Amino acid sequence: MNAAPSSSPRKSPLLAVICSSLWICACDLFHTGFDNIEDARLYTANQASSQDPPTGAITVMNWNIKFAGARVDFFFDCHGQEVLMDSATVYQNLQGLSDAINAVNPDILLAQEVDIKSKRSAYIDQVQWILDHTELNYAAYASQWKADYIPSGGIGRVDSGNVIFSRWPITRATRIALPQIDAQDGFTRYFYLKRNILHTRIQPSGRASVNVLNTHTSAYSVDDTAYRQIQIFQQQLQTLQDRGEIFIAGGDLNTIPPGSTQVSGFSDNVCEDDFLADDFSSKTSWTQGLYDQFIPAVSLTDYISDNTPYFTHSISGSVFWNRKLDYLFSNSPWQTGTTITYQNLSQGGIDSMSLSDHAPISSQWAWP
Amino acid sequence: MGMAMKITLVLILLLTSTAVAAVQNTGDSADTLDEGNFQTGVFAPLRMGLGANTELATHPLVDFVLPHLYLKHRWIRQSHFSLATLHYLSYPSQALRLVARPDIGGLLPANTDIPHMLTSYNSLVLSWQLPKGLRLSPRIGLQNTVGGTDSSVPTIDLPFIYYRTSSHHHGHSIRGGVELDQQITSRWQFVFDIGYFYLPGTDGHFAWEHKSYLQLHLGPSTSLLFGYLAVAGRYPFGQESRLLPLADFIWSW
Repeated sequence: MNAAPSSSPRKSPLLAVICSSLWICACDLFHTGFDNIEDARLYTANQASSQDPPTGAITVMNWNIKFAGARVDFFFDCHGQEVLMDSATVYQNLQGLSDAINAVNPDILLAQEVDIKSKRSAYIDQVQWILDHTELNYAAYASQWKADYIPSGGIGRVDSGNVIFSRWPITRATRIALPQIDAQDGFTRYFYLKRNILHTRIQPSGRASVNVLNTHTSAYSVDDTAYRQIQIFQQQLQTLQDRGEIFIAGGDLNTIPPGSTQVSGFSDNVCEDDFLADDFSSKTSWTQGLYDQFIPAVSLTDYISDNTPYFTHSISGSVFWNRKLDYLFSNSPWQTGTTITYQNLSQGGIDSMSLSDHAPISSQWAWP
Repeated sequence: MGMAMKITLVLILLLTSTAVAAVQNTGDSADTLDEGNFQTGVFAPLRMGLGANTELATHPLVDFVLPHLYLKHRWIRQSHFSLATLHYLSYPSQALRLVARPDIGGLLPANTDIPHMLTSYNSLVLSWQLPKGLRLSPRIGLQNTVGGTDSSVPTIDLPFIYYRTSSHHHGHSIRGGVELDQQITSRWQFVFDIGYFYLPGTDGHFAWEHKSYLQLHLGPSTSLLFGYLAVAGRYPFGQESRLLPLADFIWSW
């Protein structure tokens, strides 16, 4: 697989002299950069739950938890002006998220937009909190937005990214950089999100290991960056398949599947930017390759017959789920009839509308 | 990130660190400017010797966004010992409103409701003349803010700013330190300073600030200052330390 373009600052002799003479040890002054490939950060629950190896099917879940922001109207969605949450709000929202996770009781959880040290979520380490309040025992974290300080809009310090939670030990965890948005100026790109693929290997005691991959591709690229990110994700999975390795993969791909009935003009999109993040007119084929090559938890046939039960995202808490952005794929079959999109109490049994701007999905899968 | 971008960031940090360090640098000793003398720097405040033992200082450009004034009065002046008090008053609300914006430069959320606040700082400074041109100047002071403690203004969790604005949220903070300076030669002066901030009521409680620099007297009325500024403290996100450059150009007349 071709490595993604470098996302870490390049150094030159002249700059090294300047930095040295100014007693500055690193020229990534706000620590926003990453290597192309680097180890992800590993976590362990403070109190372990059952780690018995799988005997039948396991439950795999995917959820973008919006950094425990629930349905707070943050500035970036243009429905409100909120930037920061206090600790009481974050803990309350985390409790709601963990209650929902415990109701599903997944063995593997792919999560996106998880904060570990962000001012907007009161600097609470959400990875550790979820581990300590669910039956999950291990986690790997790959940051996709990190800065000592974002000098814009009062955001401040941020560290947020993708997480793979597991009941069983994670034996390998790697962060693979994805391309950044070329159309952005250098200053914006320096402080902006840096998307990634989190690639882990999970191995229960006495069982074969399985690759688990998680990604969250760009929502706001005005060029082909988001498409290239999905292509790289697909290539990564294809490489594993060509090697004969089993994988589970998923995430928030920020685009809708082929065969979507509505591709633009969503009623909850109120931002007045020239670029409309939710105009998917030219993007519906972007995930076709994933559907062609691998096995989706929600089949394209089912989705095309009726999109509505599979929607996983709405921007506003007053608008029901109205598009599908979240996915699970594998190269080993999902258990038929076990996939659930948790849209509300009657569809899935979780009041997910109040917990995040994304609905979780889960499916059963047989460990090889 | 391109070369120009990196150099820009470096220069911004250089300006910021030097400016912040200079904001309250009225010369951390008990001595005052002679009557009728003036001194200023690119970043250092404009100091005016008002009388034999009194000095006023302010940053004229900064006053447009952060109105403030320093007054230092020397009460005791002996051959080897001086004692002075430093008094500072500012209205920080205007500057905070300026940085409460939705885009670049926003250190606070745009919807922050910033009340009227007044901040004062009063300190006692001593100076001892020691052998070999050394001068030792310990200091201790209390910073108070009225008007802010019941507000919901978020903290600005940046080095130098967080602990200097702690009193906006908790009413008061205590600052102490000691400066050691020495006229090494007729042209070179060395300064070594350590400061401590005690921040009751905060997540952090403390911060240390240390600066050291050389001042080169280019002529009778100009000098160049260069060195470093280091800070270590506990912030709401945990402990952090920073090392930044310090540079200034000083005029006296």
